[in-house]
Amino acid sequence: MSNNSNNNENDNNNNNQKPALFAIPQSKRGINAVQINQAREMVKIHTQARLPINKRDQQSQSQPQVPKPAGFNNVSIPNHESKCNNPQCDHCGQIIIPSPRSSFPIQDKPSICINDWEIYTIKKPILNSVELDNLESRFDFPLPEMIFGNNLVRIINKESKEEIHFNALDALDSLDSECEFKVSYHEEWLKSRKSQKSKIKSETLNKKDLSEFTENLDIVKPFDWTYSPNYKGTLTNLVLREKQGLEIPISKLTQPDPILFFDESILFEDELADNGISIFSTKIRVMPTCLLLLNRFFLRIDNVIFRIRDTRIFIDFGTNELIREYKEQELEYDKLLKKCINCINSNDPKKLLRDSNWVSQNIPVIKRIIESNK
Amino acid sequence: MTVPFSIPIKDLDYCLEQLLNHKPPRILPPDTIQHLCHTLKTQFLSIPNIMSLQSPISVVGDIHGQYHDLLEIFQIGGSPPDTNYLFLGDYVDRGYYSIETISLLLVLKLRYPERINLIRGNHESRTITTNYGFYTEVLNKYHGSADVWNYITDLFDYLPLGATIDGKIFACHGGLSPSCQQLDQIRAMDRFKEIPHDGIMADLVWSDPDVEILDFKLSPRGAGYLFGSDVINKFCNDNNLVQMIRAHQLCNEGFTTYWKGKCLTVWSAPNYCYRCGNKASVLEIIHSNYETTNNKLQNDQGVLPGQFFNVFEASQENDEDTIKGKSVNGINSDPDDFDSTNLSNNNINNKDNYNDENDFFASYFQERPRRQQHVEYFL
Repeated sequence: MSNNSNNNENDNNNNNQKPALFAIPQSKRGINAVQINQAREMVKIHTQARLPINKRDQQSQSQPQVPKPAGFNNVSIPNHESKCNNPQCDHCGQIIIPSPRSSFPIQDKPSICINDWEIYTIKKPILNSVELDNLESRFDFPLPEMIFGNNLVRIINKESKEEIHFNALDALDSLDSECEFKVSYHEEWLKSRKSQKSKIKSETLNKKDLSEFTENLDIVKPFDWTYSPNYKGTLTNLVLREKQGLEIPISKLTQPDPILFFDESILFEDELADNGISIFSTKIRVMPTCLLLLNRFFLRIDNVIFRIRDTRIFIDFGTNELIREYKEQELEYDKLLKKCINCINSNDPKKLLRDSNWVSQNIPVIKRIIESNK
Repeated sequence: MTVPFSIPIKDLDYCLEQLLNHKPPRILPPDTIQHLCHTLKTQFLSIPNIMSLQSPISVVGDIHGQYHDLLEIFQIGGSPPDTNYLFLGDYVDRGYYSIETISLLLVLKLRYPERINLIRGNHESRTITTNYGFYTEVLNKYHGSADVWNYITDLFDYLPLGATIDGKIFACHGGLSPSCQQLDQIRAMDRFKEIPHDGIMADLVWSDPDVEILDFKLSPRGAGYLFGSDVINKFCNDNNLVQMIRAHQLCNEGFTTYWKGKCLTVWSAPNYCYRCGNKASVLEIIHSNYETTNNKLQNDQGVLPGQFFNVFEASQENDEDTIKGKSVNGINSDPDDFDSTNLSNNNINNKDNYNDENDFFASYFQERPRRQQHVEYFL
């Protein structure tokens, strides 16, 4: 190799003396021929390094041919029990290792294990149109705008096989069949529509719009457009009994224990066509001695109502006790807005109304169920 | 105060430089915004309710303050003045950069009035912007003053409501109205006002198509309409249209086609709200010569000949904002709150906790970057 490069250098030096034939750049501004050679050598080294080892030898020794590597039988792979079925490269005989294939279930590795408990969390984008089409038979109402249908939080006890998990689709199964609320300007809107309709009927000659298509307007299947779930989690092998007087031990949760694992995700969300928000989300934190999961539904219909439905799961890793607390909270919009204006002195009081934590601390509890597996 | 009716090009270029050449973009001072809005109002006054536009043109859907994704659109679709653009509204709210987004669009509209076309969405309104973030963003970025919000929302009242492309395609933000059969009815309206709760103007920015129905249906929410196939067929027939293009509805693929391309939804905010992981698109309309092409009126995307949905994903900055998680899950929307609860996770020596670091590709396979070590002592 070194000989070659020397020759090249000499060649180039010779070229240097014949400016008539080769356009050599000006000495100050151009590139030195020696540098070019160095660069060529660097490129050679680089490209050679990319070649497989036996091919590299072949080149540097400039031997014409090396016998093709032998067949599969010579190949042995450490930690490989049976015969290797992977294909070999035609040129160098190296084993081609295929990229790993995904298997079902998609994610079987827990996010964290602690004592007997395994916790899984999965976060994915919103469902695509194919996934949504597949759901058409399951739901006969328009689904929320954003469904994170592949998101999941799952808690399993390895020993007892007790399991609880939270997902969007089970929650959507639990909706009421109708909803008592309408958007704030519903009355106004309906009135103007009726007056319009009568006006149109009186001017039948002047039928200039698409209102002929509004004859059956009101025959539309009602559904709970606020998407308020009656959902406390999906249980498997887990029996919970109501226990009056039981409390989630706040003292354990307020200790400054390290958080070993934390995750949060949204299960579904809808902006109610900009009349507020309906959001269903989960948060989990795992400490050395216990875990807390909060599954929250938060609803704000502008100028109508606030509603929160919280499910909290507390697990004590020492005793394996699982406590589930379910709370429903509601308050009219105006009442909370008043509270909120008294509360902060700012020209943007509605900021607080977007904070579900502040809202939950300021609206009354209307229903509470507490259960345990012990 | 006397304000001239045009702004020198070099001043506009300076504004563009402030917005485009700095990271983060520099917001324009309130006086400048006032000046821009004033000049634009005089310009919008002479624009009809429905603009008459020609192909080639690129149609852009909802942006919602995702400024860097807007720049991404100019990157992939060509930047003005080399490409004609029609924006279908919803420029502000939800994203972190509503001010930068609307400022850029206003300056571009003044700089290249023939190339940039803006129409009104349901978020270009005073009531909606107080509830969905634009108002709050103005207070935060302009030191508690709502002046800029006032200038811009006043200007929103002047935005046109729709556009026709080559006279064959109708574009608006939402959809059709039972009170409107002829485009001329929209042309004859007084549009210079806040969007009302009902009537043609409200329906144009609010209603949605529904493939399962034929006629109009009342939305289950108690206000607003869904429109079906008979409605759009009649509307297109009566107005000599072949297609309607609208935005307004999020779709994971960045676009949706209804009724064999008779109606299209364009969505241009990728990874919407920094959490949806959806794609976005721009509809490029190259021509509208349907007679000369062969019988196959549809291509793979379900659009008409000469049309193409240019699909794109979130910009790098969008990813960064997602990781920073200013309000990623909409749960702790207050950035100050986030800092106080953000605890370092580094010192914990639990073996199982190393999943993230060991599994190098985990965040990639989870489709979106994870938040950086955010934990919260919630109760």
